[in-house]
Amino acid sequence: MGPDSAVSTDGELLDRTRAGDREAFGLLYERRHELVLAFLLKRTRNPEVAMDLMAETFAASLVALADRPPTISGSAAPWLLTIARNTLIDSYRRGRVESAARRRLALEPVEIGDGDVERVLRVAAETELLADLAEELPPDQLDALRARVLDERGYEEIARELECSAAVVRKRVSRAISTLRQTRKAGT
Amino acid sequence: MSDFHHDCKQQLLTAAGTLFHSVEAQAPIQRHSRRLPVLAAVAIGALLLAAAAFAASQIIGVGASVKPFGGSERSSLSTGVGVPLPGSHRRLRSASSPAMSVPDPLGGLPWGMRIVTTTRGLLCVQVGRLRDGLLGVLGQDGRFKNDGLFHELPPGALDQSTCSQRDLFTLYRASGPSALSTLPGEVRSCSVRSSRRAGAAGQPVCPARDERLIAFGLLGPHAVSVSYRAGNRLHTVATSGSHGAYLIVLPPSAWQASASEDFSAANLTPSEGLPAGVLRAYLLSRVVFRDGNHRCQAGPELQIGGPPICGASMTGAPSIPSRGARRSPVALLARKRAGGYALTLAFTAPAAVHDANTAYGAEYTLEGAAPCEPGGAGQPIERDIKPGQRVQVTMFVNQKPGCHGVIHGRIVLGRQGSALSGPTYDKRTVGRFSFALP
Repeated sequence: MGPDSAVSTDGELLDRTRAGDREAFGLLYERRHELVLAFLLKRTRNPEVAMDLMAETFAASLVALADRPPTISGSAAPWLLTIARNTLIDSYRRGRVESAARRRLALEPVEIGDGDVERVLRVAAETELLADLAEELPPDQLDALRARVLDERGYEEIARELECSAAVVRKRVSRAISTLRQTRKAGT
Repeated sequence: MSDFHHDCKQQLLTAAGTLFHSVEAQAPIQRHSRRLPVLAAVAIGALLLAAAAFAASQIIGVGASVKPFGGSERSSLSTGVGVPLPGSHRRLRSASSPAMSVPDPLGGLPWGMRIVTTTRGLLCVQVGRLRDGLLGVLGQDGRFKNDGLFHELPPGALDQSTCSQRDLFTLYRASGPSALSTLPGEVRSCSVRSSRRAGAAGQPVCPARDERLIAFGLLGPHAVSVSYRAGNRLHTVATSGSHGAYLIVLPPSAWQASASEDFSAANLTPSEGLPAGVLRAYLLSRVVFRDGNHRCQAGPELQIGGPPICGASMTGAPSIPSRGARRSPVALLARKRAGGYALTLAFTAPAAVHDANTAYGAEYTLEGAAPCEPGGAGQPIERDIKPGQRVQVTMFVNQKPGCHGVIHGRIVLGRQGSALSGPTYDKRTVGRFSFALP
């Protein structure tokens, strides 16, 4: 893992994964798995199924990275959530949790314990807001808002990660808040 | 990090390292569990059935041919799995035909396998006994009223569950032929011994000497060999022909030696909800493919120190209809039905479907809180379609009591994962629709 891993963008982590740095994919997993899990749990209402789907989603992302590498410069969240959504739909179609990617990669089934389920439910509660936001905001605004409001990071640091100026980050955060206000107003 | 996430992440790291040839990825490949489907996505099948062991020298009379297999999907030249192409299947010249013929492990008539190409571009597999160069089934265990005669299996008696796409893309990524059904025409009067259903419903258990474990499949032109465990030994056999076919017939002892509840479960049929992959994963341990000038391996029991795990490079790029296909407006008509709504969707097809490799389908997601179901898909449109043709399909949307929300749906065109499975890969959205569940 390179020394700059903490501030690497998702796109850079994917590039490094393709270049043979497997730890980069581990970093991406740690960074994004809670979002994917919350997204799936919200739709399945079943922690075990959501965890199973999440494992398939990340396996499918590896397969996609090998077969059809995406062009991602910033956040991989939209890409991962699209794979998660497709995995979910395919699972409904087949009447069982999709496992094609894990079969292809010869991954073992992972045991799920009671502690895992409890943790998923706790994480879901914390990240449900984020999953909601992911559906309402464009990816650039979501990343900016998350980094600034949820992660409480500085504009300059966020700007370096997102490869833009601090002014652009401020504008994205502002637009995100404005979008959410309008959405909430329309909802009420 | 919990154990689940730790284990999940470690497996992904190992896979990433293997997939992208990481120098850090030389961790030993573990011998994988056989409890769940972990075999790489290749087209294989296995079935456990009762098949009486006639002595090969015994004179067996000939009865009526097997009638075309009845199924839910009616096939024609341009619908369903299609019908056999004339001359697409070779007549097996003799019982010892070297192509796809294996001896019966208990001395009965040899077993044969035929590959049939259909008008919709599928490859279907027929497996049965060989007698005088003909493929057929025996009137035993309830079939053909136990007449003991040999009944020829004509190419037209196709079981759609044994059909799969012939292109490499689907072959390597999809499930392939499930081959979970019993032989065509078979209505058994007894249950196989290893089945959990054995003895159920007053049905007697088949004699052990009448049971066989059969595995067969098509692995494509790059396949080199398949390996399987029997009697605690690993056996390897070469695949045959341009379709990479294999056929394995084992005596009951092959599974009784390692009898487990798991294998018993594998004898269930798809209608009972068991993934086809479970059954497949139980017999084949490893498949070796040729990848350019190298060899690679796939399966639940990878050889440590053996060839690398197979990648996607050998499958080539898919030839899905152009991404530039124009979007089509979707007309929607909703009718209230018990338990939900029947949505009739009509659209103009922007691209052709000329075989069963691709299909149009409708799917949706539902934005609504519990108890709403989050999404679903309609029956795929399994027929040839011309560009510009008006297409209509009906999809049922289940509405649980108390569920209200907006359905966001789309018409997609994509590759089918297996025969008649609907668009699964490389899906292109050709139209969108929405409907508010009142």
